[in-house]
Amino acid sequence: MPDYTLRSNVCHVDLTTGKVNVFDTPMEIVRAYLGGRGLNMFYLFQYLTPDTDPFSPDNPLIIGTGLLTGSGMPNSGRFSVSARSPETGFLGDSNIGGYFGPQLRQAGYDRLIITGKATCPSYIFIEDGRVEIRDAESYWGLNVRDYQIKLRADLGTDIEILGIGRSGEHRVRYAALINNIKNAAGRCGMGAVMGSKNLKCVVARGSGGVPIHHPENFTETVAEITRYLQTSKSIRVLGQQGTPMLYEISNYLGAIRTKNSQLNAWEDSLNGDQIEKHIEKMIACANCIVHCRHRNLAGGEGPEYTTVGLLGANVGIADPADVIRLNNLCNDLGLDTASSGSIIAWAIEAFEKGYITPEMTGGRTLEFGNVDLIAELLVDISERRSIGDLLAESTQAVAALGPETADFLIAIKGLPPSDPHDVRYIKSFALGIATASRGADHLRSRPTLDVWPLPKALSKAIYGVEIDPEPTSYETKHHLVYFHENIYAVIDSLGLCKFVCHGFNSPQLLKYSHFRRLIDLVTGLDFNDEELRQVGLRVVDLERMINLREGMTRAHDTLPKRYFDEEAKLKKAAGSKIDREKFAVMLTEYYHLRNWGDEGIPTAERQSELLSYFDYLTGEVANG
Amino acid sequence: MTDEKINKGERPIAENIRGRVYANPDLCTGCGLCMAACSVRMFREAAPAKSAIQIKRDPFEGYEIQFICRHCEDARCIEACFMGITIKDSDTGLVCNHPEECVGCMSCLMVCPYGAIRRVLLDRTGREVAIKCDGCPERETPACVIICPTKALVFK
Repeated sequence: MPDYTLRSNVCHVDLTTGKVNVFDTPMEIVRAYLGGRGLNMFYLFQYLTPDTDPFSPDNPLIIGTGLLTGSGMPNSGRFSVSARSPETGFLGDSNIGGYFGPQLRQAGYDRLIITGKATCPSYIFIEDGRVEIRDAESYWGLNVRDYQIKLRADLGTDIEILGIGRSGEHRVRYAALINNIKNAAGRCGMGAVMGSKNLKCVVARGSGGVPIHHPENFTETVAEITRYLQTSKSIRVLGQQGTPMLYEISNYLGAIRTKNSQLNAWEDSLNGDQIEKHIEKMIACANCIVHCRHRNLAGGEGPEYTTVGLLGANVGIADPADVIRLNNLCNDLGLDTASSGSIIAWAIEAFEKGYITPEMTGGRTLEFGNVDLIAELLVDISERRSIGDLLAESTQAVAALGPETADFLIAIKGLPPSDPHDVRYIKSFALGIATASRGADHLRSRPTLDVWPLPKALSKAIYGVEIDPEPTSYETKHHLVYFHENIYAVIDSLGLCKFVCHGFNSPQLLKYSHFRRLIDLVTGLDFNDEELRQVGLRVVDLERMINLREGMTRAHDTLPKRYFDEEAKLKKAAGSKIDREKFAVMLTEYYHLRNWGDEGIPTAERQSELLSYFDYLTGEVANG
Repeated sequence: MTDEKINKGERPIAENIRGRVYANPDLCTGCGLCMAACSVRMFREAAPAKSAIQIKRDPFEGYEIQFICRHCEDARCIEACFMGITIKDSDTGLVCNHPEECVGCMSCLMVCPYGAIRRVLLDRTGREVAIKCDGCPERETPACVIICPTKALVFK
């Protein structure tokens, strides 16, 4: 009998042939990548043939739960969805909460790999190990709320659904996968990949669960860790205001992306305490002790800080009710709010500069602050109507609008940043969104503690090196990005939420030592802190190998041109921009810390070491 | 069943009965940790479908409801159980069934006015049984109450 309790299986569904193949992930690979994002990347490397068109049936859509997803550990409701991104052409990866991940495990599977393309609109139904590909004709064409309500009426309300709205059906390159009302795998166009497979959704219902290796310690351990987490002010405020609490501080710094980053600060009317007035109740994802999700008074859920910034300040809207209207609309259409707000703001500036003409917009004037217009554009995008057809191409619309429009496009590697934070002021934030493997993104590395000057003794204690306490300094900041990328890769692989991760919003919260304790409680697997840290390094290196294979170079690890060339004008950040040379030095230092040479390439030894894990795969899986 | 039958001793019921679990729906976020604690205690797995306490969420209707056994004084599940394995403990006042002897007729489930009894498939045997809250007699406070992160569940 093994002295651990673990199931880590994979269900590969080929929609073209209808064939279903189930296999276990070998223990050596589980120890190396845990689950979630880590194992998703492992299988993405295995199943993705380089240069595969993201909308090709061959692009694997991987829905993978973390090692602890659904285990009852605090905030263990999360999982990852990965594929080649239609928005960037590089690796696509999106992390999502809600209830689908735990339900998938309860239904018997830890990871789905979906390849092929169904001949007609379909959905995958999974119930206690049984997998069926079913006809989705009566759900196709409906948006997120309507089709889920219809499915729940048809199949029962004890199901969980992960699927797409109209925008995913129309392959909008930033279409999201949504569970319930707003839990979204929003980034990198995973919804468009699902739509390209003629797949409306995956439905799971399970009477099983996640086995617990040490059940006798379960309740007291979770309660103890919950109490520890709840001593943190960030956890308490998140539970009251949700992520909009971050707006006020970013705005104070002059770090709110406003009107396509032509400005860097906006109205106080979007502060967290103002959003709070529109909230009926704060609710949670599965197993969450933070409860940062709003049930709003307009019949939807949200908004997140991302949406407040990008469908507020970035498009010139200052009324919280308007932001919530756009938020609810995006969720129902199944659009990523971050890319939506970024692309629309870019389009408005392009209109002002004459790159988009009234002939292209059906005679409409694109302008900031016009909530009705923006609502119209969102629907146009999801239907690929009028100018919406072009904007649905996301950053790839540069090809049609002309290379000059790339000069004011706020995106990296083809992905607009999910964070409304203008990174010109805090240099570690700038480096972090430049190196993020999925394109401009704060959730790969955000060293939030760098907002305030961190005492050197504290930074030494956390990072192992003294960090220059000045947020505007370029010195030593690569250590911050390196540390946070590693630990976030681990927490994404465990299926826990970053809001309980050490260093994300607080110098406290869950560290490697907590992770190993939770892993032992649930699985009985023994890790030490260094072994867990190595998992993070491995995930980041493997992601780099995937991206290099798709043609990424050092030149992609950069920033929007505007952040190098134009100074922020307002508030504390006034006068800030990114110095190209200093940024290049910072990036090289980061590469060296990762042992990636000067060009951002892991050594040949490291690459073959990581490739050796694929030798553990056998049979059909190993042969692809 | 009358109070006299339950309360075999002379002490008043309030002192005789172990506390019960109550919910404040306004504080419940729907996280389901209570269900994890309950199912881990009974079945060694975090399996919401195998929990005696049930939180029903409907994000589209916008509610979270808690289904919890009240250990009724005049418990219909006791009367309905023709196996005679659902009984009220005279010392604690807790209504307990004994799933290992349950034949799965689900009569108790059908008569419970609070929806607090659950049909569960025992993996080991492929047998379906009814499970319900037993009040965690081995603990000072039931597991679901201990684990609830918002104090939506109270024990009194």
